[in-house]
Amino acid sequence: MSEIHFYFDDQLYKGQPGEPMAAALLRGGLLSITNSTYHGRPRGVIGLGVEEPNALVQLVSGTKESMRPATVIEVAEGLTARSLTGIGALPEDAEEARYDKTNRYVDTLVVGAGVAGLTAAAEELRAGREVLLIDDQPTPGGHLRHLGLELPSALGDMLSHKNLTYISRCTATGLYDQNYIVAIERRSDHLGNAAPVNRARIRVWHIRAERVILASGAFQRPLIFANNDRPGIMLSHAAATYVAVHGVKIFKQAVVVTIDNQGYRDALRLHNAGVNVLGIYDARSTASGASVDAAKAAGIPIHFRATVLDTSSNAEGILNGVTIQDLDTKEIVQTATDLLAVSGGWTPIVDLATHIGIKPTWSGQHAAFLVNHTTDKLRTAGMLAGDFGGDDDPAVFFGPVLDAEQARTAYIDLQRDSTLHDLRRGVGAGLHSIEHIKRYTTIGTAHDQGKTSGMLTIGALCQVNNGEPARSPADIGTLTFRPPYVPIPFAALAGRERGELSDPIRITPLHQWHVEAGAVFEDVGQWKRPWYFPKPGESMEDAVKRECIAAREGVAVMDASTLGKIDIRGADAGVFLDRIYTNMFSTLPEGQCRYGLMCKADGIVFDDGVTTRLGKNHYLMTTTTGGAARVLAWLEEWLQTEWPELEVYCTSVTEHISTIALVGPKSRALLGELVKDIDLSAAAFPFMHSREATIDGIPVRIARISFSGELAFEINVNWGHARYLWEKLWKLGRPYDLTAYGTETMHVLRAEKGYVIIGQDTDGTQTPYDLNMGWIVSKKKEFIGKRSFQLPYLKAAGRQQLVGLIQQPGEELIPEGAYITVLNATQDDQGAPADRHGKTQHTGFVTSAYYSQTLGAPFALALVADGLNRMGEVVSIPIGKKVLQATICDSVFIDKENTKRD
Amino acid sequence: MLYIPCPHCGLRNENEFHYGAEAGVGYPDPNTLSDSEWAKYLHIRANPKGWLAERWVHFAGCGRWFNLWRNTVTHEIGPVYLPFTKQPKAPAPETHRDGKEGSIQ
Amino acid sequence: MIAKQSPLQGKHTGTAATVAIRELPGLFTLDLRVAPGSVAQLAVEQALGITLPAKTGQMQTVQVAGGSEAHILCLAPDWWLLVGLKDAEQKLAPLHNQYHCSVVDVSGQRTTIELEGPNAREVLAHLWEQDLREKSFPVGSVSQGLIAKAPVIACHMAPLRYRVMVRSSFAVHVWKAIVDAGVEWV
Repeated sequence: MSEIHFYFDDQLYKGQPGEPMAAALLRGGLLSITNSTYHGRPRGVIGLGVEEPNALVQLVSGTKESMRPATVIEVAEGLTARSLTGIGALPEDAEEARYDKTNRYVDTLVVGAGVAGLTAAAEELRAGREVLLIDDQPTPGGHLRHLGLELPSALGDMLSHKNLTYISRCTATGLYDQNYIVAIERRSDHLGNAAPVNRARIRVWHIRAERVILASGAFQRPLIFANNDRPGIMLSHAAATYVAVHGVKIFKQAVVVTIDNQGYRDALRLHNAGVNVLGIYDARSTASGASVDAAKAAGIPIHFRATVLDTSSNAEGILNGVTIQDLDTKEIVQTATDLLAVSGGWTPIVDLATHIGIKPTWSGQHAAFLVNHTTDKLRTAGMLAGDFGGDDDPAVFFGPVLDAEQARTAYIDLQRDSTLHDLRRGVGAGLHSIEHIKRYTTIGTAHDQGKTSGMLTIGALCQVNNGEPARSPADIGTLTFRPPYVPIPFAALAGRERGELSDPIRITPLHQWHVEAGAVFEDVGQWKRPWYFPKPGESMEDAVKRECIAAREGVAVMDASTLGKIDIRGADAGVFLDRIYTNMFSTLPEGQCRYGLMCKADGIVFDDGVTTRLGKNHYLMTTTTGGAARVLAWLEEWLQTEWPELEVYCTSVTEHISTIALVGPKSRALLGELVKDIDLSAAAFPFMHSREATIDGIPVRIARISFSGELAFEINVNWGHARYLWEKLWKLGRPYDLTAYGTETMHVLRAEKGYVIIGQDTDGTQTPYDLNMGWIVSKKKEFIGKRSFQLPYLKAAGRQQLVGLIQQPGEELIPEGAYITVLNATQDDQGAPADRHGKTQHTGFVTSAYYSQTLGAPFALALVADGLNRMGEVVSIPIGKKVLQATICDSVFIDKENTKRD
Repeated sequence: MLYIPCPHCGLRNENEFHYGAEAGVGYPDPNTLSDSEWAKYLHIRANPKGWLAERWVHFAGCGRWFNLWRNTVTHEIGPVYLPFTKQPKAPAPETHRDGKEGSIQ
Repeated sequence: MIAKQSPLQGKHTGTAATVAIRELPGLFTLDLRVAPGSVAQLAVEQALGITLPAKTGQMQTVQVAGGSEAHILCLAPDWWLLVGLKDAEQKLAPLHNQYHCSVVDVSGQRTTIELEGPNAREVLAHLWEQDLREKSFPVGSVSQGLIAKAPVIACHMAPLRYRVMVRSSFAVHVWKAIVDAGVEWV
């Protein structure tokens, strides 16, 4: 195995493949890594993995990630990092690394490849199941790795079983309903410079398992005592592992303080690695077992009913001594040492189980919360379930009693610099719940989310009774853990859904032509639609002006393919449409089209469109571009859940049919060049009629529908033939000066005619009457929404109604969304404005606003309170410091008699 | 991510479905109701703590509406039934997240 | 007859040794709605000379004249797509007057992207949230769902071959997502 070189704070360090940066730093002699965020105290590594509250680093190489503990960063060639105090810095450049996700279904998911997880996986394989085994370390074994031991061969061999998939460096971050697990796999950081470019840095696994076995293990926790945060104070299992397995040689002497037999095992490892263990201080009155005997045999002094109360440091703030207290006599003794190894107890990793609501149970003899859960769908194993191995004596849940002064430096959350003093203040302020204490003190809110501090908080709360009876940990309960179990980069969650792939982009078959014609696009829902087609040098204003003139005076063409189209067939199609639309459709003659409005049951307009009767039992409905899916869902809901007796079938053909709108006084003439087999004259082909024809053998259906008020023809053709037809139209259209127009021009043209756009001129609260469309509400039939028109609030005076606003030529265009106000002319007896809103009163807002070529002035559509009764009134529209003025008028601005349509 | 049993397609992730609130609230004859009864039909739906029979539509799949019992506290899914079929009884016993009775999964 | 343009214009990439991704343009597709177990369904089956697959999620292969294959996809109890049955529309047209059914040409509504190769399933698993295991989605299965937030229909054609039918307007987007997911193998 070759050495790996990396840089930390500009110093070169050497690491071994698969080991965390923290081990290499310690081996290199670095004990004090950073200063704490709020108190500025020197801190060093205390743990082995994700539970580490100190030792945050800022990566300078690669992704330049921030705030990651050195205990989880695997050394890699080329890695460069520096120490970090508190908040890190985000990189300036965009994240270039690739992140992806995958979905996996399995018979059994085992979380954790320690001995318990491997054993459970082997059982599942023997039962004939396919198993996915995930573990967050580079190699399997869990604590065996910390002990430097090989896997038992039976378990090692199992890893190559054909029904087992083993993923290393994969952390389960959340357990969700019905055995859904999200896990993140780190796939390339450890390869450093050698990582292949196409390899995802992190893969997010979405796993659905029939059975889940949680064998997530446990980590150690520290103890609360004065000055318990100095570099050189470490969790005992971590200290022993760094010394015995990672070759850390910086400690000459050690003091071990413990509340369980684990401390003895760690003391022995330190001793066997050459550290002079000055003594084991056990808070219990006695202990027995193999580890205790071995410690005695090794000559390590053992003191019962003793614990550490305080520590001292050198000039750099690094540990150089401890104060030990006899718990019975209260006598204290001071001892010099450079390592204080603390075994405060094991904390099983209960997070995933709590994500789905399982409440861990307190075990006094383990001094821990356990999850001992077994159903056929989910079970726990190993330390999580309380199997701490061996024949240990019971542990005690313990912390020394500290006075007020000592409490000020007795740290509970090392990352937040929260102390026992802070917790006591919270209790003194009347807080009982651990959740309140957490928020008051910020304990548990840092990157480690209370992994070591949570249990300490519970212990401290048990001690601090504020005059009330002492509580047990069972009464207090654990913190509420929420996914993710470890921090996940946002980029990993975004995965490949970024940039172009972040949301679908929908395009019509004419898209490429629009691009080549220089169109500027706008988003309409997920569609890209041409907004306007500027010629070289044209501004948007110029282009729209030119397009409007062409449509009103010549001939212009637009791609209307995005319209929703629904094929409706069946003997009851007409009856069904009569119930859905506010107006009649069963009486629509074959071959004709009708504009319809749809309301929800609450009487509010939610979509509109033109529906054509193609046959006795056959209609083609169109919807707004954005409403297509919504409307089809609406139709299906009624047919399936209320009226299954109706013989109606609805089929989406939105992308089977493409629609080209040819508009303007010259449109008939140009169309006549294209279509030879039907009579296009006004007499033979009236307004709102539909005709079938062919163009070069291609079947088309042409409808005389006009959204502009001009003579217009909508040509419907197969999606796959649209481009051919469009190009032919352009070739023939050159002598007519055919002009392409986009959605902005479409908006101007329809607004001049007062045609409403649902969702633009409506805000989800308008009835047909509010839109001045009472004419479309049938008095003869029942339809969805009709009953609601009787509701008092829909009939009330003062409702917002759709009106037009006209301005003087040369005035500034009103921005859409602008508030409309009136001066409050009425006054009370003292001369102050009678209305509580003061001098100006909000009376409506502008929904659409454009410059009209035809009128030579700006105009707008607006929703104004009681607007239909306020024709001619002048209103004010404040925009910043300016006040624009406009006159309320009818929403139809031009050609009120519809003479241009033919 | 709930795993919802579509009666036609089988178990699927919840993001393939849209929620339709309480089941069994049929469209009443609008002309037989007072304004407040009509408003109640429009806007009020049951929302109990515990088992609720509710409507779902598999919009990304078969597009069919169906009903099922779901526990709004534990998210357990109970019996599934099609529109216009007899509603099965609510599952029993009541199960809770505090582990006092029954189990979560 | 003027040839139709397809949304992906016959794009293809990769190799069947790992994963090949290609458009299959212009598959003639009819959307059939008829009540299961009704006389109308019987009439449809008699007119076409086939039995419709009865269960949602089943795909049936039918040999047609000229040696090619057609496929009948059952998407819901009363909903089928008939892919590649060119004469079906004429055969079923007379039924509209006598029976309650709907037969709509939706050939332009979707295009088809085919994935083939030993890595096809793994590429698909990056984007497809449903169970692709053999026991859940064997050859002859069809399912509607979402890929990259777009509505699609996935079909398991052969052990190493899948088809994704995607709405025409979404085709370029879904193509990009699939090719991107296959970047380690293509």
